[in-house]
Amino acid sequence: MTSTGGMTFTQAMLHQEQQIRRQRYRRKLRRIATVFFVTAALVFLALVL
Amino acid sequence: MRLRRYVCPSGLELFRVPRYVNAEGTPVQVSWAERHAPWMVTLGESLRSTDSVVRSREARAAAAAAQGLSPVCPAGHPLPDGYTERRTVTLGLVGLTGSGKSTLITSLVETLLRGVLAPLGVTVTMDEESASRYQVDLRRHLIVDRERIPPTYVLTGNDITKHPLVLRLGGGQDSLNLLIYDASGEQLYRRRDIAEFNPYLYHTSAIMLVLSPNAFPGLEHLDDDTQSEVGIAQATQMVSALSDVVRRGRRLRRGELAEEVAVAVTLTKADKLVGMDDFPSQYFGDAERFLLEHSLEELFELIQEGSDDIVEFLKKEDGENLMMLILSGLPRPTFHLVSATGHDVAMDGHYPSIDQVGVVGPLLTLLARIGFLPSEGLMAR
Repeated sequence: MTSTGGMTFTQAMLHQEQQIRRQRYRRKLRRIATVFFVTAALVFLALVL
Repeated sequence: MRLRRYVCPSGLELFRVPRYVNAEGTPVQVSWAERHAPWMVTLGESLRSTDSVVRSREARAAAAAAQGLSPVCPAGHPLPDGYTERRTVTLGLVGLTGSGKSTLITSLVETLLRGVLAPLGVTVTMDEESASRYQVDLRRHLIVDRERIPPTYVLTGNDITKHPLVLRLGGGQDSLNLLIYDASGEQLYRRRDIAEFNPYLYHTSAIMLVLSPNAFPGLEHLDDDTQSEVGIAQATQMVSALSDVVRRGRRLRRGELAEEVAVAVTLTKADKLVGMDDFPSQYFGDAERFLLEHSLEELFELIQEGSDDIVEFLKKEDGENLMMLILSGLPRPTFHLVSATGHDVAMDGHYPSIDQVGVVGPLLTLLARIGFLPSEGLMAR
């Protein structure tokens, strides 16, 4: 949970929006990294074998 | 390509592909691929034809209906007519015993069936089986006899806990199955209880958190249900457990928000608070009346503004801790003042009349959050 102590509703919601944007960004990065490493592994295997 | 997931309206389990039974109730054999890898069948069909996946599913449902087959879920529960042709949204009303969940469900369904969403171009119908349960278990008590609905068993819930009411909402291009169920907050205390009674909360699409004045020390004296066990400790524990359940169901880490879940927080029995000095009474009203003169976007802006004032009001009534838990643990909540009956119960145990106030507002917000209604005006600014 994130700290929203003392925030008004609007401030807390803006805080949530920022958090959701960061979450989406991290998720996208993770996906790109996964695709990159899986492709690299496949290319490596194809070259070695 | 989007693979559909259905929710069984009898047991609330998720499934990908419906099965079919013939007139004698004997299951029709389907291929191995269809049983174990439905995505392969869907992919194959979408590659073979130019139709979209959705049309392919509809065509399959229509072909089965023409052969006299009826769809059932994998556990064998029959599905209502046309159920598989629409997407399904589950709406759980979460609140502690005595907070007014059953009364709110009854008032909400009654209002919807009277055509309150018609000005927005949305039609509401009810599945036949749900309609008879609604009439006998809920409507007869509250609307016809104007008496209190019998309390739900604290832990095991009642019929509506396991067998939600199935509504069909149609409007414009989209139509959906809306499953409304009652999730007792006491079931959220222990993981074992959640697994036994409320496993579907892990994958619910929308949550209406029902709080009664009893959940706030400053408002406790106004609640008529004095012997109720609802109290501030239980309410905070429930909200904390609920946010954990929602997050865990989506494999999110601590500190992350389940943005796919729509949340509306309702303060029920708000008619008892109208006399208070700092009560934000300008936000205690009917959405349908407001919509006669204003747009949906203006209504959502008003709800956002109102949420600000309601949160401040509840914080002052010693609800700071609870508000903080809601604002940090549940995704994009909006706050609503609701009275499902409009009046206190009289000495003879009956309500003088049933005049619902504000019951539709939370549902409109949830429908916008899940993409059924336009959501302009709902974003934080």
